[in-house]
Amino acid sequence: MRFFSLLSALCLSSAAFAQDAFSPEETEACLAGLDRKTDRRVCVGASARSCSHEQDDAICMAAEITYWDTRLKVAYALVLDRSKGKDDDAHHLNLQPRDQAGALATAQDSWHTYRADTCAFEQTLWGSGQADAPEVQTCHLYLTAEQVFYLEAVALIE
Amino acid sequence: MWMILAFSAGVATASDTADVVGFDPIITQRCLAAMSDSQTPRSCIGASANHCMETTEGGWSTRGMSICLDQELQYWDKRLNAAYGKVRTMRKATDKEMADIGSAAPSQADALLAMQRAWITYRDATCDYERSHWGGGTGGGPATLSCHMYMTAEQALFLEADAIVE
Repeated sequence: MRFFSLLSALCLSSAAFAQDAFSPEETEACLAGLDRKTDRRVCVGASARSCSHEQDDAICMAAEITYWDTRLKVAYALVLDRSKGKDDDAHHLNLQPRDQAGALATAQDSWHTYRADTCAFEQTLWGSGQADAPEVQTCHLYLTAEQVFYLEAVALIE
Repeated sequence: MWMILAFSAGVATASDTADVVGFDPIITQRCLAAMSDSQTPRSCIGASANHCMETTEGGWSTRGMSICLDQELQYWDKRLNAAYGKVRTMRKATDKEMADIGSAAPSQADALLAMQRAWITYRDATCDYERSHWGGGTGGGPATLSCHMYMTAEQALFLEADAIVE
């Protein structure tokens, strides 16, 4: 249920992007066209680059970060639901009690802190020292996309 | 991230390594050296451990996998420590330069330390989660080692890239 509500949130946010120069289309087309050997990170930022022909770079980057953030929420909710299902199964089948949902939540929390602290470090390296410096945005974009790839891969295997 | 592994034997210890004939970090180094521009260095992570499993008698046993994975983990851990030390020295020097000219810029070395501490917590929590896929033990040992090996390698590559920036 949660998955579907997030899925519609993703569609809604895509619709919102369409009102300005940003569309996730380039990124998604790039990912769809990749062979298995190529690093998926080459596609990250493709939509922001396309958008920046017509709009400010920072706005385009922020829009693609929002896109990946939404996709992350969807993937996380899906994996969490499955973990809870397996935890429940173990309970009902009188197997050894397990708390995979708890382990997943702890891991995801620690990832959020890791992303914040990693990008805060990047922020100290660049002249402006501002949170919306291009390098800081790039940090958020790539780390978020990588966590999406990870959780989406887990969702496929589980 | 986790690999298809059969059965758990727990974490290998240093005393296990004497009988490993197949581990050689040169396999990973050769892979990194032969990379094309479109390749990611990540594709080389695990190359030495896999070679070790293939060339060591009993390399695909749980114990064999654990020993081989642990060997490559130790290799990346050394690289990570070296890269971290290098970046820390550079950041401290920058902090001093900034302080000398009276800048109020936030400390790069402090931010680096906070990042690395957050990464350690993230690594441990992620590998605990990976272990949870294996329930009460089956495959959990090698899976956890594999997770630590991949994550340590990625952070080593990240910090090595950072050390090149200046």
